[in-house]
Amino acid sequence: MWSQWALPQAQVGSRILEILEDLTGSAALDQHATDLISLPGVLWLGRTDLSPTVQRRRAA
Amino acid sequence: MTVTSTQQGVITEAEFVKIVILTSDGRLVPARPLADDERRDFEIHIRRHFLESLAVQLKTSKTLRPHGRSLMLQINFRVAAPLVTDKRLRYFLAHFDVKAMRYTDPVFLVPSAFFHRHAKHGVGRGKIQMQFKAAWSRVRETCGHSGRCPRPRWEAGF
Repeated sequence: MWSQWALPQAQVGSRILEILEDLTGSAALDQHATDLISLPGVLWLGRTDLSPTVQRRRAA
Repeated sequence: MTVTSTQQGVITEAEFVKIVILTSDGRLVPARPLADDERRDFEIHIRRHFLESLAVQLKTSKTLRPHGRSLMLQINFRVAAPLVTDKRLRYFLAHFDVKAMRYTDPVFLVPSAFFHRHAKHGVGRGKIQMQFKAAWSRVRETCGHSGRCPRPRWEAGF
């Protein structure tokens, strides 16, 4: 179970660099996604609370 | 005379700093939080880049326990609830060889989410007991000598 997280100590620095670069990348992607989602006309299908709903009125 | 647990903490933390700086060619900067009440020994960031940092909590053992013909690395400790789980928090777990004055390969860098899920051993008197127990000999056979440990399968999820 734990072996997947094992590494030689000579690789500790490079592994931490990878982790930090991944974190930086995902943070940048989050910001990019937020910018895109906030564009007018863009719907985020996973966020039903933000999806516009159509109010239908019965015909008189 | 044996090394006390306080001395062990100081020595292993200094050794960790040495490893992080040297094995990143000086790109990583480990820093100590002034108030150590969040169960993290170091905040590590990339030199001149302050956007992201990785918190690391060290847990080490001076001994390897015999288990049949093999050796186990077992580290027990207790923490006050609640556990803080964050993708920016990892546990560094290792055996420190007092005679050789260094860590023994392999070492473990475990995401807090995975660690908290699998190392929780019990709860008592308001503390959570954690137990890390790795088949050290087997892991060492896999990657300790070759320097090629298998890559974490679930790294992306943590």
